[in-house]
Amino acid sequence: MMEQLKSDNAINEEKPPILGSWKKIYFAVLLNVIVLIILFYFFSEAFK
Amino acid sequence: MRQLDWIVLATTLLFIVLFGIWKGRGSRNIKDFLLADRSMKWYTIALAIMATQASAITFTSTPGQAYADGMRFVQFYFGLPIAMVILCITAVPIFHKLGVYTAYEYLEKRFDAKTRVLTTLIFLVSRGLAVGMTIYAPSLVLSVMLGVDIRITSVIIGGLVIIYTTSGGVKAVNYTDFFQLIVIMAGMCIALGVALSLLPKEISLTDALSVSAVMGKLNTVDLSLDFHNRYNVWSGIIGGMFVALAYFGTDQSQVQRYLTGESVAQSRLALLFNGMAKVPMQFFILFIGVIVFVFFQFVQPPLVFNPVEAAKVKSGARAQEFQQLEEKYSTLFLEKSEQMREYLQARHQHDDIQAAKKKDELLMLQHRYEGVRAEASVLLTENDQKSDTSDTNYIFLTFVLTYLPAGLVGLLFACIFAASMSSSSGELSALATTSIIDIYKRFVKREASEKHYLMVSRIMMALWGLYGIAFAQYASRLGSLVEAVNILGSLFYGTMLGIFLLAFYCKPVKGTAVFVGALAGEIVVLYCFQYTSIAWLWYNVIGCFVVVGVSVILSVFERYQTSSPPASSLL
Repeated sequence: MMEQLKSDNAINEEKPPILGSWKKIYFAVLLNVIVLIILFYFFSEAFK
Repeated sequence: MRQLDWIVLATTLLFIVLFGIWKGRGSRNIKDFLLADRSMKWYTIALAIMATQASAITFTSTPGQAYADGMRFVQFYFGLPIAMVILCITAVPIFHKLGVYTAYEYLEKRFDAKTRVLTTLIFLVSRGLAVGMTIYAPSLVLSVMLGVDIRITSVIIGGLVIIYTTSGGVKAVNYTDFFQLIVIMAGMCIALGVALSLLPKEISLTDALSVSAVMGKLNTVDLSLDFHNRYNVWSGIIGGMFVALAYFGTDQSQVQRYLTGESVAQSRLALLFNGMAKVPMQFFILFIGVIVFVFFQFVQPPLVFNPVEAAKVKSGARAQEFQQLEEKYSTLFLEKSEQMREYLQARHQHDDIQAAKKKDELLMLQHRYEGVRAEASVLLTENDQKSDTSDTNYIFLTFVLTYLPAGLVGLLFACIFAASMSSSSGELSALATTSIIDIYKRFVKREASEKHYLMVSRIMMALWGLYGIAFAQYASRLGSLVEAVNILGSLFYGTMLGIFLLAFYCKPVKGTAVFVGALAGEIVVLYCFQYTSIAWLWYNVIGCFVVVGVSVILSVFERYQTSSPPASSLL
């Protein structure tokens, strides 16, 4: 049981190499797609 | 193709195979062979994931799709990054913690053997049909464009894949995928550069974009909510997210890629990189198609891009009518080209009234121009009922073959071969792994030596490869069945996703409820496919919701029955 908990914690505590936490990386990925959609929208509108 | 092109093509393919064999050497057991000993770094996995997902048709058909239909297809990928985040939170740590070889192995641990078998069979049937198509579709396009028999192109693609997958297993697959994607993207960058350089000197990039916008090709974002419209922001975000969740979370050909990660962090980073890079990559490929479209506004394209179909009609009974259409097409092209220049001139002079007038005239001409292409398509069918009228696969390759310099044509064709090999190798290794782990090792021979399982794994990979080649050889005789086979593969994802979502998030739901829910979900999806006009992207959403809904209702009912006292005790 204790080993199982340790293994779960090890997985959750494994830090990403950038931004410090997984939550921040997830947020960056989602922000990226929102920015892309906005950019695509303005790209299409700019040449209409 | 010129001699130099053949040399470049052969050298690239040979290098890919040797690279795969070299990188994949030294497998001692099935963990090595099927999971690369869980030793892969995120960047290798990330590119392998992207290479497996992008088939050869992605690189031949997508630019053609942009040429014909604009860039709206990019919206299909808007939901993918969301799916990647969800999978990183749920599937990746669970699969890693349990140390499974396949996603379906987890379902037995979570539910029961029958749910595992059901999903395994769904995967083997759908992916088994897909692997045949993954080899057949590019083989057909390459055979038409290179003037080589389809049996030769399919044997080359399938044969080379068999060599490195059976020799090096998943490690070879991942490393070759990594290398193949780099070659493919380099080739596509060169193609874009050449396309831009071939535009008339007086046409700037802004002019090119303006021309494509006037013709409705820069339609990257459509905010209208229409369930019958295949590509808009909403179907992309919601439907696309469900497709990506199903594909990356339940399809072994993708799950196997990130199971090879040396840690949860490496697998997560690979998926997240895919989430960041996939949309721009798809935009880029579509953008190449748009530039090719602009190029063909100033240089006359053929009326029919598929050279085999064009030759067939020219030598048939309808040759004269086809020639008349070609003449009409040429006249319209010259008129349109002239109007295009006048439109751009008006824009340069900031004469908005004249520009608007020219724009209307251009759109009218474009409508007539497309009308002639539609007439030609009808003529092809009337000339030969079996003719292939879907021209989009041949637009980009016609441009490559006709206008790219010697050497680069070979490189671009090597890209198409590489893309086909990367997809089919991923599928072969997934099919073999599932056959071994979920069927053979589970039901046929539970106890055997590592050497035995390793040997059976190699044989299984070779057998799936031979099946793929055989399918490609006979697919042309299946006629319209090929299309049905293609669609069939996309009908199972919603059900699979529903099963996995229940496994991850609904602990009270048990095996039998899920099993019945899955069957119900599949029936509803098949009904929608057969009797409704709902766009296919929504099938995944519908299938998933039915599986989850039916399973939860059955579970509640089951719990109510077991918790309520027997009737006799109430008396």
